[in-house]
Amino acid sequence: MTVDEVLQSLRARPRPRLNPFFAARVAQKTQRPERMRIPWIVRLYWIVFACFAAFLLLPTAAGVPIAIIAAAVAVFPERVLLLGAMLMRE
Amino acid sequence: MSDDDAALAAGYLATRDDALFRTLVERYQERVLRLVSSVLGPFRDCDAEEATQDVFLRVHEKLGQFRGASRLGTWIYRVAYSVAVNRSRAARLRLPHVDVSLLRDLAARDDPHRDLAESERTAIVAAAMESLPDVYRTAVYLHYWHDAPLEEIAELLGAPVGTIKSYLFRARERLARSLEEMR
Repeated sequence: MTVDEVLQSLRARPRPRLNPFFAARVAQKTQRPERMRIPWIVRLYWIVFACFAAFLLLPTAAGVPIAIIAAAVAVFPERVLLLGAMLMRE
Repeated sequence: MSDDDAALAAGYLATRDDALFRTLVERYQERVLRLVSSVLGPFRDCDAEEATQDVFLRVHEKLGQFRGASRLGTWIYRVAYSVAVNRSRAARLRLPHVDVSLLRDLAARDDPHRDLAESERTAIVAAAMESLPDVYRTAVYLHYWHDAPLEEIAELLGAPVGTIKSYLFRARERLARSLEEMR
């Protein structure tokens, strides 16, 4: 086999083609789901609620964990709610 | 086209309008496919479309880092080459020297003697092409498989036309040597 035969044989190989909707599919894949936005007033409500819960329940056994959970929800609502959902599923 | 591309990229970064990114993909998809498939080659079981998609997802991820030091197209082709070379190396480790399309067709054919000769021929071509360095092999596939003109190959590989001519010349020399050794 010669070099020319090798190179000629390449021309006979099928060439790849793109799906007609390729660009639309790529553009769709680049979209990220919108992050859940928590309004500041809701965050403030939860912080006040956490402080109030801590004040009321601190002398009891359940007081400290409840106050910690309420404070965590107030500061990181998305992550805590997601973690809660995962724990519930398990 | 260069200014237009830069404006398109800047517009997309400012507005995150999908239509703008889609326009960018449509503008470059055919050339990126040619480049990516030439790096992967016609003898491997690599999905060129999937690799092309990976290129544009990487472009999307890094678009904010594009500083305009080169043309946007040049930057995209550099990303494409790097993604394709990584995929090609992974495929080489997975399935060395196997023409998967040939294996798939083997059962459906009529004349086993002719098929055997054909598969031997394909194996020789694949092995000879594998003996070339990445950049020579890519230039050869672009020119002889995709029929791309020298100017386009130069743009895709980011090298002057004279350098591409020399790649093709040296690739022919190396192929001749490899074929000689295989005899």
